[in-house]
Amino acid sequence: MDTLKDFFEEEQRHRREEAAGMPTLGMRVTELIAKQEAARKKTHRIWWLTGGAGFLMVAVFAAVYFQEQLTGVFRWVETLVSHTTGAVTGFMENTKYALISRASGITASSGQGFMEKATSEISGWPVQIWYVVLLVAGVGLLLGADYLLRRRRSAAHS
Amino acid sequence: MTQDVAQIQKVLDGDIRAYAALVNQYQSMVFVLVRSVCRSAEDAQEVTQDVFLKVYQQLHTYKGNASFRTWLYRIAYNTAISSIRKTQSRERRSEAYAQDVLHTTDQAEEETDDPRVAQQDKLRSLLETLPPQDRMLIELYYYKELKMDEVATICGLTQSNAKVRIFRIRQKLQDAMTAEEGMTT
Repeated sequence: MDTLKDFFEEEQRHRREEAAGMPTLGMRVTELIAKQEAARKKTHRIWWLTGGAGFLMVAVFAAVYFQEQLTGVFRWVETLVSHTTGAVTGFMENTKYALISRASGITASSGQGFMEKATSEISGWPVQIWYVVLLVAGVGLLLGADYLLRRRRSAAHS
Repeated sequence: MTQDVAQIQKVLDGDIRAYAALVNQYQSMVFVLVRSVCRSAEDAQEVTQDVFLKVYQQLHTYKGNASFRTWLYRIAYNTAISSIRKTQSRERRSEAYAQDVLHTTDQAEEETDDPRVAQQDKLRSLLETLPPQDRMLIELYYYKELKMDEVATICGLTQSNAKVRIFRIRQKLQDAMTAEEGMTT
């Protein structure tokens, strides 16, 4: 087995000599990193611009050519949201009053008016406002997905 | 080790010069390891460069629990293995031809009077027949500066598994050497 030990020691010595003759890689590696970073940023920017422009074009196209269908969709979303908010508000109100009455023994009915007013106010918003709200929500979703993807990619590296 | 951690922190804070210094400090160590599976020094230099590009991307995941050297060796090991896999399929295509051509020249070159040199040549060609993982494992085993647990960590094995595999590789090499000697006498 000493033959093997001698052999590997000899090989390593030879490779160390080769390594000593190698030029320093520090600067070259950092230059490559800078290039890669710049390329990555450029690609990212291009994707965002293309995605944004595409989204805008689709939105404008839909608003011009499919106005009725779009209005129908927004009305449906509006109804759904108002139903949901109404249900959530009702549940929260009921829970709140149930807790208050259990804690103090008083049956409260004031304060209910504000929440009902707010719900009817939201459900009465015009379609244009819903359009903007959903547009913002869409952009928010895209940003969130982008953030999650980046985090997942960096976790995958590890 | 604390010096390494401080330097890594500098890099993570955006000091690219600190990274250049880190590369210069460890490039020989990485080169010596990857050279064991690369055909030429030029290939090994390219793989070394790839290793440091990967290390930069993954530097934020280094927690400082293990030694930086072991962590770096692990990345070098994985990069070298994937690099050899990529080149292997390319090489296989031209191997048949190269074997035919080189065999005759090798035989002529191998005719040496020095038995030590002949034995080293034999061992070198035997190592060529081993899978890259085994080749690197046995190389790392003979590194004076590495302990057995570090070797196992670098290769992604348990210590007992690494020991068994090393024993088998050594046995295989020893048997092949004995067989070769038997054939020549």
